[in-house]
Amino acid sequence: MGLSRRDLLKAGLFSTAALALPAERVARTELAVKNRIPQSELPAPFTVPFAKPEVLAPVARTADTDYYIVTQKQVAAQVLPGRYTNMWGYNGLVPGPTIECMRGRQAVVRQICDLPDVHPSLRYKVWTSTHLHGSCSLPQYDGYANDITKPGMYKDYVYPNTQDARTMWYHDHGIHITATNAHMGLAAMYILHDQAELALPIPHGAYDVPLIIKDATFAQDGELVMDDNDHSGIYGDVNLVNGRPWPLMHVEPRKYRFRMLNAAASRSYDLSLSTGDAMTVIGTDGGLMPRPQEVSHLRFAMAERYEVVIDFSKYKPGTRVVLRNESPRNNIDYANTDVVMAFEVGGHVSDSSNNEVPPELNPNMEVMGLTAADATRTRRLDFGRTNGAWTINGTTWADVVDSDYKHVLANPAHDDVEIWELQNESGGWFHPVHIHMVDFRILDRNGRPPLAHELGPKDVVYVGEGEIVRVVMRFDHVGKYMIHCHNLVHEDHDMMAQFEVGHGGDDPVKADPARALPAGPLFVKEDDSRDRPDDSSSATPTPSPTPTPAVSTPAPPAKRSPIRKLIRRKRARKSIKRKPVRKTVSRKHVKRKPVKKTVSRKSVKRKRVSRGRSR
Amino acid sequence: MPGPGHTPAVPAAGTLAARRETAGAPPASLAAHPPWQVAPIAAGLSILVAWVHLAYWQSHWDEWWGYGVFFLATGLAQALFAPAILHWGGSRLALMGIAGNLAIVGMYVLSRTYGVPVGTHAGLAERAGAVDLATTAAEIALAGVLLALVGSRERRWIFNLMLVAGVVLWGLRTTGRLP
Repeated sequence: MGLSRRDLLKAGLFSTAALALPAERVARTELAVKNRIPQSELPAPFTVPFAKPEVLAPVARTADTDYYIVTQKQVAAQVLPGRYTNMWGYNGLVPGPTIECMRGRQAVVRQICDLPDVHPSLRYKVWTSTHLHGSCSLPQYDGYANDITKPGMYKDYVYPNTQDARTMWYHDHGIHITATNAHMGLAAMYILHDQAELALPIPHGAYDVPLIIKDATFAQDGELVMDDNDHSGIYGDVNLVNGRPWPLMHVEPRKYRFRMLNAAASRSYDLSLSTGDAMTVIGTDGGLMPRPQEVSHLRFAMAERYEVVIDFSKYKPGTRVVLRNESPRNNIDYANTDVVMAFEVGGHVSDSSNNEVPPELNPNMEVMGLTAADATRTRRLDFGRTNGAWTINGTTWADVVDSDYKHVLANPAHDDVEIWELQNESGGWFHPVHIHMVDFRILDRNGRPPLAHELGPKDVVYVGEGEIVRVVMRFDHVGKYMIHCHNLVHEDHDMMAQFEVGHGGDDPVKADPARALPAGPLFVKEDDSRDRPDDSSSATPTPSPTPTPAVSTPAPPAKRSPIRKLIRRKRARKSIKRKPVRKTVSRKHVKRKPVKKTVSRKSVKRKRVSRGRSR
Repeated sequence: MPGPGHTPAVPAAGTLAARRETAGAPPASLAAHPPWQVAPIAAGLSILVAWVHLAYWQSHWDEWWGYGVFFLATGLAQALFAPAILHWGGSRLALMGIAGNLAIVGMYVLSRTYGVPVGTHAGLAERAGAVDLATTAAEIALAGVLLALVGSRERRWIFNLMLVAGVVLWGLRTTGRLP
């Protein structure tokens, strides 16, 4: 068979299209990924010293409230030795400063957005929304995705701190750009103490150590590489702990309590010790477990928190214990993502107090007493994919926005107890499901009991490939709250919905929106006798002289009234002197100006989805 | 290697001569007497691409049953095509092979640009990889080899269809309509 030039041209046109178009798409993103620092130039694991995040001091304290100011800003951070990376940090720190509070003392955190208007490399318009993950905050202070704060604006978040002691974290939740905002560094720990927890002989103080674990990829110029792998997830080749790559921590031969937070955008971990020894899990997302659990492996999804005690007293001085990662399915792994950090055991114990794990930790937490029989209703939530979008029961956050925030997946009555069956039919990915506002108890996983480390109060649950997980919870706060996958890329595209408890709760977008800078006073001098129970000590707020966490006040019974008081005060203040409030971004604005990202198909896809919906 | 009873479609001699003068078209006798290597090469390529599809059907089944069925059916069809083309040869079988493989190539382009229209990956463009690009190249080569077994009239149709498909794809890409 001879071929004419014309025939060759015809066949070639098709053949090149069939091969070049898919390859070109890959090349576009691969160019960025290939530009990553080669493994040989990354620091070797366990060569960088461990560091704890800073603790944020309140700017003022009143009788019942601690006040903090946090500024979100871009910073050139030295994450890898010898290289600088443009990151976004709360107060310019990556990870951000830890806020430590005492139960019963509410906190007011002013978040000032001093970020650039446009992301420096991805070129999307920047906004933020700050979610205190694990807190039963009012809807307008919960980091509702569309309750955004643009650069040049600020918002005062009120956190009740009425729950049991727990490890929480605050992180970005801005609509459609949560993954990249958080990956840039907008995440930090928030620790709530209470007297019951402090009275336990478990490790405290210097032996109570936060471990904020995440992954990242760095380009040759030091900048972060953020390839979302066709909306599957952002995976890095460097494991960071408290912002340090594979750090080495020197420990004393005694028990340590590690507050582990998986702050990665998309990577889950399966943690174990290189010695094969067990770790003792004493706390989960919602605080201390009823009883400690010994585990040799810890499957650890994004946004989960586990308080884990490791006993180093059994090792000889000089022993190195590596915290390993046997990666769960459907992660993208690299040469050294199988290790997280290492501990080098010393020979001297400087404080041997609080060196125990008692058999009972927190036996009376209400949520852990809930059973299936308490539930008035069972709902099924299916986490899947429809027409390219990540969906919950076939709906996306766009449906919520399109309905002017009225569309809800569930409307439990106030104080109802319900069972939610969280289903992931796919074998191709897992979904860490986060239900805002509530603590829940995991009833079972595919009909079997939950894993040992999950036997505590939770707000995120790993819904693995082909799994159905049943959780039971009480809805004890009124209002609209989000539920979403905590693979932040899935969340952005668009696996997020909302439920409403009762009716008539505060509007999450309009009740207390962000305002333009310059900011007014953060706190109100308590000279208003209406709000003051007596005229004694709770007068003028006292600026905190030293950066010490507020952990000294005994916990009064849980109550919401201080927040209401503050809101009343704020509203009164508004009516007197505030300029007209600048609206947060409107629904139309969000839809018409989709976020641009490096991978152009992402923006194209979003536009396409938007067009489809508009039809 | 035409099979028994094969009657290749050959255009009228006058038309062919005119075309040869103007466009350098191949002589009509080539389709009737293709080189003996064509069928073995086609069979080898078909086995190769079948093996890839069968190797990946399980992982696609894990994602969605429909993807698994597609990969399994594709792999089996390509595997069965190899002995068929060796045993029977023939223009009709070759045409089926060309149509089937080009359809698979089309589905591949769709899956790597817009995303397939159904299943759990609906609308999600997958990332192209070395294995699937090589497989697609082999399928295009297979279709090209099979062209030697079909008559010039069918061949012309196929080339024209490829031209249209190529123009459409590049047109969509250059106008930004193909992600």
